[in-house]
Amino acid sequence: MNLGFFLTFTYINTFKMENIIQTSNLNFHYSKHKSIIENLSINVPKGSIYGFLGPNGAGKSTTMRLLTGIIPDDKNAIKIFGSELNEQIPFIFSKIGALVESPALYLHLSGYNNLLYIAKVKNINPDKIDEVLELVELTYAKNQKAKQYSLGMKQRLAIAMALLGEPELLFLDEPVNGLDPNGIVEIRKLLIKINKEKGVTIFVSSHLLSEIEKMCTHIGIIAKGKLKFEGTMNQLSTSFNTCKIEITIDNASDWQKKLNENGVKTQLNEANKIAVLLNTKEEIPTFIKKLINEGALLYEVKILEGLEEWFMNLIEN
Amino acid sequence: MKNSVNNLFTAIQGEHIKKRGSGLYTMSLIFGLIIPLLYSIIYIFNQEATAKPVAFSFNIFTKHLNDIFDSFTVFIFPLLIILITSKIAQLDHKNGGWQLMETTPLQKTSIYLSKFCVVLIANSIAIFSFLFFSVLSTLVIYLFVEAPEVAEFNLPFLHLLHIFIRLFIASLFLTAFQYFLAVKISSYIWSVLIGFFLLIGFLIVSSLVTIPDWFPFEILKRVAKYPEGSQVENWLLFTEKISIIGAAFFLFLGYYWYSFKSIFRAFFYSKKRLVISLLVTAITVFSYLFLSQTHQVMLNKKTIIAGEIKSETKFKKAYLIHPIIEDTLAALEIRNNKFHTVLSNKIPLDNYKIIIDNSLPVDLLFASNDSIFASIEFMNNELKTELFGSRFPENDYQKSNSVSWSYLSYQINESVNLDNPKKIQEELFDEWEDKYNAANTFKTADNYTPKQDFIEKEKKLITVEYLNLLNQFLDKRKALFPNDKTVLIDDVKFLKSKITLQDESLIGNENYLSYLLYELTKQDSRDIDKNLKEIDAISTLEPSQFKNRLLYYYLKNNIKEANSSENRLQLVENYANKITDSKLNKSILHLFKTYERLGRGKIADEILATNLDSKPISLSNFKGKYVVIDVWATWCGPCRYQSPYFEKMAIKYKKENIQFIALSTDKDVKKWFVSAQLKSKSVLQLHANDIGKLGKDYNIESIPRFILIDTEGKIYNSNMPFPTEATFEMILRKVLNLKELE
Repeated sequence: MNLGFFLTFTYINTFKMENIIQTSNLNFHYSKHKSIIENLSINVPKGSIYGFLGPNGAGKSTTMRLLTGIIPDDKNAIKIFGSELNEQIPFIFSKIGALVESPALYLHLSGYNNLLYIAKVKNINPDKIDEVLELVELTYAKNQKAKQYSLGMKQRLAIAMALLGEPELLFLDEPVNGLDPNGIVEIRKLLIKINKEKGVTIFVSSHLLSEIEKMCTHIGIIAKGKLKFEGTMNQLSTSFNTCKIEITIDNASDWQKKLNENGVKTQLNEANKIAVLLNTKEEIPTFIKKLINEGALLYEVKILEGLEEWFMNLIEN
Repeated sequence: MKNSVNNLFTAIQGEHIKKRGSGLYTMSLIFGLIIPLLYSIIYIFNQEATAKPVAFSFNIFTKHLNDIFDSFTVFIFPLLIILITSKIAQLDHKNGGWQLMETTPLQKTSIYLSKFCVVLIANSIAIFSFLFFSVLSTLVIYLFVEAPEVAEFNLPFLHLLHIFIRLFIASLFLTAFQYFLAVKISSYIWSVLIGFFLLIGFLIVSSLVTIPDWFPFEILKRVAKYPEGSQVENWLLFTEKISIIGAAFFLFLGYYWYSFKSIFRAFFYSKKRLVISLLVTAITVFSYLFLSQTHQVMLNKKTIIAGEIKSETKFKKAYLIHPIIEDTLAALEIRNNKFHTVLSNKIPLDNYKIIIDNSLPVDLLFASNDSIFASIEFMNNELKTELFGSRFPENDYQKSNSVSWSYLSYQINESVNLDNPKKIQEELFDEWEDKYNAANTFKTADNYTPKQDFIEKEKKLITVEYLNLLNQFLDKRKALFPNDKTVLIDDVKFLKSKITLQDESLIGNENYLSYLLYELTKQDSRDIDKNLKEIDAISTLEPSQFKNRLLYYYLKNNIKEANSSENRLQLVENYANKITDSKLNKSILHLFKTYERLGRGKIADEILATNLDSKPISLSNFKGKYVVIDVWATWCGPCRYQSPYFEKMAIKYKKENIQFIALSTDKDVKKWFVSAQLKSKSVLQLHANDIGKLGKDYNIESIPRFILIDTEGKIYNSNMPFPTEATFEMILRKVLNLKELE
């Protein structure tokens, strides 16, 4: 065996080991004609926060249920921790925390008792309960019944239940659904914290890119059951390097015509707003200077987040 | 395996965290408490209805438990199971818990079974609570109510334990079935409704049709129906074993369906699963068929009659007789109040009687090769018999055979719809057919059936019953529509063809005899006594043992009922020689002589007796006075009824030349002594010294018996009417030369 082959072999092996979740051509359909998931192959590296994005009805929850074995996968297309999921059910769940179809809570029980139940069935020391309660800031309400919780509190309790026992892998299905902006920020912080401090791999789904783009290291985008994109956030930025800006300007329609004549791609957004597509970010100052010089009355210049539009494009086609 | 058990155990502990605050176990406790509580309140405030004098010792806890057992097992307990299974499944349906549980390290078996186990714990709590509170309520009741003297207050611990286990096992099937529904149907209301409608439907329908023995509610009902359990020493009834099979099947079905999410995936997805499902179904069906097969008692080579008498009195001798022919089959020696005899001759199936010491009759159904044990209790002058042995299914059948209301017999009795003879006959045939077929379906608690000879006979008796009804109908038709001839339909002719007029096996049955004699005498239009017509008709039959027995029976009755020596003589002269069986013939002549001996003017046999001061007194002491004797015993109900009327006469005719004597035939002199002390002094209270001799001398077959002896010690009337009848006083006034009452 030569060294090169050995190195390649080792590389492939470590590469494989790094993927904590791996599916190869995962399929699922309720009836023969209606496919819910089609040839889905995703790879979630260890230590990542993997954002699983897609509009409602794209198959996110179904994928989530397949990955957690709630929907059985007879083809053995799912590997978790490097081996087939089906072989590891149910004991794998002592290493996995899952929040699927939130919030699965026992409303007649107190927050503490909800966690106590999880601690019991996962064989976790009940002392850890106070820690996670602290983490999601529910200590003050731990003896209140869950049915008296607000939506945000319920969501946080459900996350606490998933977090209990320091799992290696966390499945979170729409964890910030129904939270106020403040709450969303809190959860985001929390997830980054446990990812950084404890090295927990997090697989999180959402239908809003903006909700999770700030925390994810990896992104997978699904639409109509098919994977449209998978890669790191960096790959995402580089694969998308045009820049779209929006300017607020008097006589917008006149200016739009003028710009079009000069070969600049534009679009009239509102009566006094024009979206302009530039090649790079660096072109912005020159472009603005030129406009002002030509006598434009400019009120505002804003970079439109390129990713969001791209995302919308992606899932619509 | 060990891991799975640990896993299950963890799941059960988890369920107990989850059910906090849901009040599941409290509900079980309360459901167990309801019936005993209501019962004790009603019992305490409604004493009159419940206070009946009881003669035999019994366990007070068992009695009260049996009173309320049915309402618990048939309604309250099934209702609880329906509610609890739905409630425990709801805990997770409502909160998305089923999915949550699947993302924990619990095995699916643990998830499915842990909740089932919680229901089983709830069931146990309910049963325990029911038994505990029924014992407690009994104790509470007797704080307020005076307990019967014969009641025993020792706790029947083993019996209660047995009932606990049986009830628990009997509830398994229903629990597994309801749990299966509750897990499958995520709406609370539907799983409860289905269970509830099944329960209500069962309650309504069960009195109308036979419910199959595998039906879960029926299995529970039978625990209360047979509180003593198996009659053949099994720990469980076969229905309770079926409960285990049913529970296993539904647990399998429910678990597979739950675990593989859809019927197709669970049972047909792969060859392996298909084989497993078929195998489980086959095992279930075969075990059910095996368990539910009917049994018959194995026959012995010998015919054995045995028994034991529980009593303070010691008995000596008993006779096994045929009740109609009074033919003695065997004499039984009683030692230490036990008897045992082996009969060698062939005996046809019939209802026989054991007469113990000429006074206690015990009915006994058997034929050759049966082994019968009679457990007889004679306490406080009341008799109770329980029969064991090879005819127990038949005995159960007779006990269960309650009289049912019949529209047909209503129509005939009230002369309704008699203008349509065809319709009545059709109804008659239909009703007969129902009953006829029902005779085949009887089964005991252990699924034993009566033997074929019994069923055949029973069917004949049912036919006879309907033929008698038919005759009654024809008579009414004749009276109401004299000109309208009633034509028998073919079905009814078929009915008639089933019963012959010479069926010896039915000779012991009154209904058959009345049918037979109706048929024999219906052409006889002579205007003479009905009895005479009947006896005439019998005497014209072809000579046979059947005729002998029948003639014997009728002649005997007629001799007994004849009102003069002349009549008796006529009967014997005309018919006795027609009985060709020498034994029966002799018996008739003997009877005749006995009656002649007791005829008016014959010297009365001496009676030796003792009075309340233990002084000897004999009949001859009273020569020169009329003597009227009331032969009685303290245990005899009709005697106690006649007694006051007899005393009234004694007081009224105190000044006349007549002595009233109450002659006791009690075996237990103490009983007589206490009872006689309280009676009127105008009647002389005596106790017969030799009861056997008295019985023979005066042919005393039943008491009370009233005998009138004249001033010369001769018999005036050896079988007086009862004092309640006016003729009693008329006879007294006649002999005392008093003028007739107006």
